[in-house]
Order: sequence, then structure tokens, then C-alpha cells
Amino acid sequence: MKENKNFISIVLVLGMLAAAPLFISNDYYLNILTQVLFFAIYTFGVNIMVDMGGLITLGSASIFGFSAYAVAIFSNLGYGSFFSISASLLLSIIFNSVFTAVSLRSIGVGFMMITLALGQIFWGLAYRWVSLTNGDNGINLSERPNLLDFSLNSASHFYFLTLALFALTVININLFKQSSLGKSLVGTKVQSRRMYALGYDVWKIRFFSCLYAGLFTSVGGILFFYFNQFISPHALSISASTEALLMIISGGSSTLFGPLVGSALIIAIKLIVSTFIDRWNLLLGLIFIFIVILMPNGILPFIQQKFSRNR
Amino acid sequence: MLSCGFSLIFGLMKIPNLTHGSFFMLGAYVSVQLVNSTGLNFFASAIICSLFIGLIGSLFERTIIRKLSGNHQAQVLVTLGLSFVISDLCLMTWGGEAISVPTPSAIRGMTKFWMLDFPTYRIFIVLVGILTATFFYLVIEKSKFGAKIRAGVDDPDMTRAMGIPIHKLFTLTFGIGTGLAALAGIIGSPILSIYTGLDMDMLPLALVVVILGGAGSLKGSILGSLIIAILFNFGQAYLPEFAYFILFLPMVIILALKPNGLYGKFSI
Amino acid sequence: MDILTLNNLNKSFQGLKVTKSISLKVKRGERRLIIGPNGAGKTTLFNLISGDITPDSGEIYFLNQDITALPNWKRAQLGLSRTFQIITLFPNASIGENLELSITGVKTGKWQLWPFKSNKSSIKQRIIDTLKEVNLLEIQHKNVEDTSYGEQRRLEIAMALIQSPQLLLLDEPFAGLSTEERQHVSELILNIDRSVTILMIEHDMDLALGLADQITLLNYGEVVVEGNRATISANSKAKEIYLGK
Repeated sequence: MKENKNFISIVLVLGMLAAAPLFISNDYYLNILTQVLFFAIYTFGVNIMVDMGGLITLGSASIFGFSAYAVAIFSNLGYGSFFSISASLLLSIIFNSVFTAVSLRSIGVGFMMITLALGQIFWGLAYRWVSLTNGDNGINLSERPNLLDFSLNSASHFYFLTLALFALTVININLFKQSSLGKSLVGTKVQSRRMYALGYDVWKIRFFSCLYAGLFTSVGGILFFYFNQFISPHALSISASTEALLMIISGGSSTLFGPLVGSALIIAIKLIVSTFIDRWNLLLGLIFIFIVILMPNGILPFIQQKFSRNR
Repeated sequence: MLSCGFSLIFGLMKIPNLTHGSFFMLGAYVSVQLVNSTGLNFFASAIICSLFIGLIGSLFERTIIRKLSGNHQAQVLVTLGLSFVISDLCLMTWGGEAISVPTPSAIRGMTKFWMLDFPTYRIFIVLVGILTATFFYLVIEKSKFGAKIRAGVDDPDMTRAMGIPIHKLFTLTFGIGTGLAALAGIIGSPILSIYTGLDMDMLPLALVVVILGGAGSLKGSILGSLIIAILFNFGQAYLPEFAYFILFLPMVIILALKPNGLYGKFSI
Repeated sequence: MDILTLNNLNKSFQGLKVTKSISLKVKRGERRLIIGPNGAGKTTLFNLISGDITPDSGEIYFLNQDITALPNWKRAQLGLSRTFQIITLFPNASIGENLELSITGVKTGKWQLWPFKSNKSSIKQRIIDTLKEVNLLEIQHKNVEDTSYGEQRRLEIAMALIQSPQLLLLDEPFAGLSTEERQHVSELILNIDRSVTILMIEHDMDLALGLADQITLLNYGEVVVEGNRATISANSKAKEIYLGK
């Protein structure tokens, strides 16, 4: 059964990731893996709407950034980490509700347009509302918090926290795919007309799925802030939203671990490339065009296809 | 002008061209380069560069966009990718410092108009805007070419069935829309100056105008542009922290009440 | 009792009047056939009844309730199910999974984020019963994309039947079927319990007339004549439409 195969794959991958620190002694590389994981959490969330819902958002960084800023602002107001995180998640759901309600006035290309416009508007807001966000200077965090006496200052501690959340993400999303809402969501992508006729409120299905997906995006944003101990408006830029999409499509949006593979790929390329040239955006654009035209299903399926054809 | 070009492409091809802002910026950069290198007249350069950029746009449509024919979402993604490429190429070529463009000497200074002094160049821009809008209105509504475009917007399948080469129409329209964006960028450059990020500042404005004014309608784009320009400018003057947010409200109101936009032919 | 009442429904598309003041009453348990030449506005009428499009004016009453302003998915939950002229099934899912999605549409438990096992057994039984009714039980695990057109047509009907509708709208259920398959579908429809009222659009006269109690003939968006088989055959306008002027 497909579900059993997936279960084994998930256990294997999580197992390997859990064992990774044993083989990686250098904190530098462990930190990279941590980043790959929280970006994967973020993009797994976005992929719920892209793969299952057929809705490509160009404004996912807005929710990501909002959650990060919320946690940053509350932390700097003196609130403890538990309160800051809870408040951020709650406010993010409200923010996402508004964002999604406006965006869902359309689907397909229209949805992309509205999410792009909204994304830019909130990026602009983060930039200019200096009294709240500190504008271009961003907001700093002097020290990573202790969560229940578990200090996040060490690389391995932070890694395991991220891995635990990543595991929860993968497990929950796979369960979601088999749930009634998950199946309904896929139904709205494949045959929305039929779904209406069957008694499904297609708008509500999309809306609540977006809220669910947004939770993972928010968690990614919060981890991002605590990891970097910094947040700036750049995290809400169109560049950031596009990178998230690129992670999804390069890894393969319909594969089991697509967003993880894509996340690793893009972060790796970014790191390697930044030592040679300064022009990441150029490369981002070129890779994007390349993948959309040649490998729209992602790199892994593309390679798989090539191999099976050669047999 | 920017929005008319955008609306043209979106109306006919149903693709929001996310490279539109980039062409706006590229046009400005290239024109300034041309003027500085050859001492060519501002206006001549404006026309030459717009045509040149329009050609690039057509080429892009012909090669890449046509390949993804039928898959609108992929086409949009590809225009997004190209916008990043152009943006960085501009950064590489012209650097990160803003370039200020001198107002062409022929139209400098102030003009008295009904007891108020207006910078002459701004009057010029308004006139060019009105001229372009009128020209395009006449072409789209009255000419045979315009009729083909209108047919393509209303019913692409039928247009194709009637033997009108819709692919060629697409390429041409994309080129024209792009050229318009470039021209807008060049003409606007003395006021806006040219800087990295100009593309991403202008793109959402074009998007919001189309959402507000409606897709596939020239009238809508014109009206939408006016509303957005007024709101944005007053917003920047009185509520600088929320200037961008000012765009949010009319967009939300229109989407909530009239998803087709003010004059739109179809809902986005 | 009238299960469905249409009062002066009007609908235009970009200036073209497709539905002109159509009024109609369907009795509970009836088998009503809607016929008419191409372009008469039959599918538009169906779309108005199911709620896929809204009328410019007029009212629709279903089970004595004014549903004119009710969105299509709410009408389905009231007991109004339909099939589509073009097959709108889920190709990557199995026949059984398609039916499961259908029945979940009218049950509670749609909003779960995790797969729960709660009322799975009653749903499973309902799926099996429906599969038996349309004779697709043996291939319930087959993916829809691997099935034949005839099997898909039967599944289309099953998707609507499994919801235990009060009113079933069948939009050209015989379209594109072979003679043998037509027989199967015809028997299927005949065997549907009279607790389900059926409204059907169909071009195949021979088959459809045998299934209908009452017939409504549409032309150019208007009702030309209504009645049983004999009334329609005797009507001069009907003869004109079908045999040419």
C-alpha cells in the first residue's frame, strides 16, 4: 500500500536526520542543516496549497515574516518566549485569515496576482512603519530563549528542536492528505465544479486549508527569527516568496519530501554561489525559468523519468 | 501608460506580466545610457529605446512564453523569473547608486496655468499620458487591428477559428505592452530617478490598477491609474508610514464588491 | 406534491436571451424528460436549477423552499444531486474513492484535519450498496482513468445516487454510449426508487420516452409544450421542431 511505503520513507528520513549530528561535528554544517529544516517546514506548509489545492501563492513570505516580526516585537517588549510564540501564532492566524480572504477572491492566475500585490504591500509596510518594525534596520534578539530549561544557544539543541518540529510537520501533513479536508482540497483542485455539485463549500475548503498551511509557515518564521536572532523586511520580499516557490518546484511539489529536497538544494546553491559571485537574484531567476520550462515536476521526478526511459 | 501596457497583455493573453516593472526600469536605464554615451536627444532616445525593449519583449514571448502555451500559471512564473534576471543584470551594469535623470532642456522650468505654477515637465508627462491613452483608445476601438485584439480578449477560441493568427497577435501585443512600459519608465525617469528596486515598486502599482480598474479594459486602466496615483501620492504626503497600505484598501473594497473591477470584462 | 417549481425564470448571456420566462412544476416521484433541439437552453435550465448559474429574474422552489438565492453546494445538501454532460470524475482516484468523496459531501465530518475512523463502516456499506445498484462492485478498486467510458457514465450517476437525493438531475446520461451500455443505464434508471424524483435531459428519444412520465419540450429558451408522450406526439409545433418545417 502506498501509505505503508510512505510510512517507511518517513521513518528512514527522520532517522537519518536524527542521526546526522553524530556525523557532523562542525557546528557550521549543523546550522546549515537546521536552516534547511525550518525552511522545509515553511515550504511544506506552502506546498499544501500548491500541490493539494492548486493555488500558487506569491506572497507566502508575508505570513512567514509576520510571524517572525510578531515574535520579535513581543520579545523585545519583554514578554517571555512562551507568550511571544503563542501570541505570534494567534495573531498570524488572524493575519493569514485576512490575507487569504482577500486572495481567495480569485483562483489560478488571479490568486497569484492578488497574493503578489498583497505581499508587496506588506513588505512596504514592514519597511516604512519604522516605529513598529524599525524599518530597514530590523529587529534584533540579544539571546536565544530557553524553552522549558532547554537552552537554544547551542547549535545541536536548536537543531533537535527544529528536527522535532519538522517531524511533526511531515507526520501531520501526511495525515492531512488522508483526512476528509485534505481529500476535499485535492478534489477542489481536480474538479471544482463537481465538488460544488456534491455539496462542498469550495471557498471554505480552500480558506481553512490555507489557515492550516499557514500554521507551518508561521512556525518556520518563528524558528527563522530565533535562529538568526534577527528579522528585517527583506524576509517579506517577493524574492523570499519566490525562493520558497523555487524550493517547492525544484524538489518536486507532488513528491513526498519535495520541499525538503528543494530547500536543501536552494540553500546549498545559495551558499556555494555566494562565495563566488554576488548576483543571487540573477541565478534565482535563471534557475526558476529553467525549472519551470524543463522540469516543472521537480528535479527528482525528472531524473526518474530519464532513467526509466533509458531502460 | 504602465497600466495600459499591463492591461493590454493581461486582457489578451490572460497573463499578468510580472516582468512589466522590470521593463519599465530597464527602459529608463537603457535610455539614460544611450543619451550619456551618444549625446542623443532625450525624445529620440525615448522612442528608440522603447522600440528596442518592445522587441526584447516580443522575443521573450516568442521563445519562452509560447513554449508554455496553455499553462497560465507557468507563464506567470517565468515572467517572475525573468524579472529577477533583468533586475540583477541592471544592478551589475549600472550599480546600486540611484541615477538622477535631468529633465530635457526643452521642457524645463515652470509654466503658469490658471494662477498656479506647474513644473513644465509634469505638464508634459500628463499630456503624453493623455495622448497615449487617446491613441490607444482609438487604435483599440476603431482600427481593424484593435478589433482583432478585442476579439481575442472576448473569445480567443473563436478568433482562432476565424483564421486570425492569434499567436502572432500575442507576440505583437506583448511587444507593444512591453514597449509602453519602457516608454513610461523613460518619461518618468526625470521625476522618479532610476534605482534598484524601481521595478518592484512599480509592479504592484500596475497590478493594483488592473485589479481596481478591471481586466481587459483600457478605460478601467486609465481610471484605475488616476485613483491609485492620487491615493498613493496623498498617502505618501500625509501618512508616509502607511503609504503602501493605502493601496490595500481600494483593492480590497473592489475585490469584495465588484471582482470584475470597475470596468473589467472578466473577473480575474 | 410539487417537489420543484420554477416561476418565470429568465437568463441572458451578454445580450442573448437563453432562458425566456420558463415556468415548470415537477411532482414528487415523477420522471420528467426535458427535450428540445440543440441550443434550446436545456443545460442552462439545469444549471439554473442546480445553482451553477443564477437567474436574472424568477424564482425556484425546491421542497417548498425558495432556493433562488441559495448557492449550488447548499442545494446539494438539501437533496438536489446532478450529473454532468461531460464526465467530471476524479481520474486519479479509484471508483470507491470517488464515491467516498461524494457521500462525504452530504455528511458531517468534512472538516477533519486527520483521518478518523468514526462512521467509516456505515459509509462503506452505503458505497457497496450504490456500487451494486450501478453494477460497478467488481471494479471498485480500479482507478477511474483506467475505466471505460460506459463505466464512467454509470459512476457519474452513482455519484449522485449515493447522496440519497430527493431530486436527481440527469444531464444526457446516455451520451456517447453503445447500444448495450444504453440498455444497462436504462435499466439502472428504471430501477431507481420512486422516492427519488428524476429530471432528465436526453437526445435519444426512443430510450428516454420509455422512461418518462411527463415531457417538457423547449425551443429557443421557451417551453413549447408539456405533457405525456401522446400529447407531445400529437402537438403540431413539436412535430415542426423535430421533423422540420
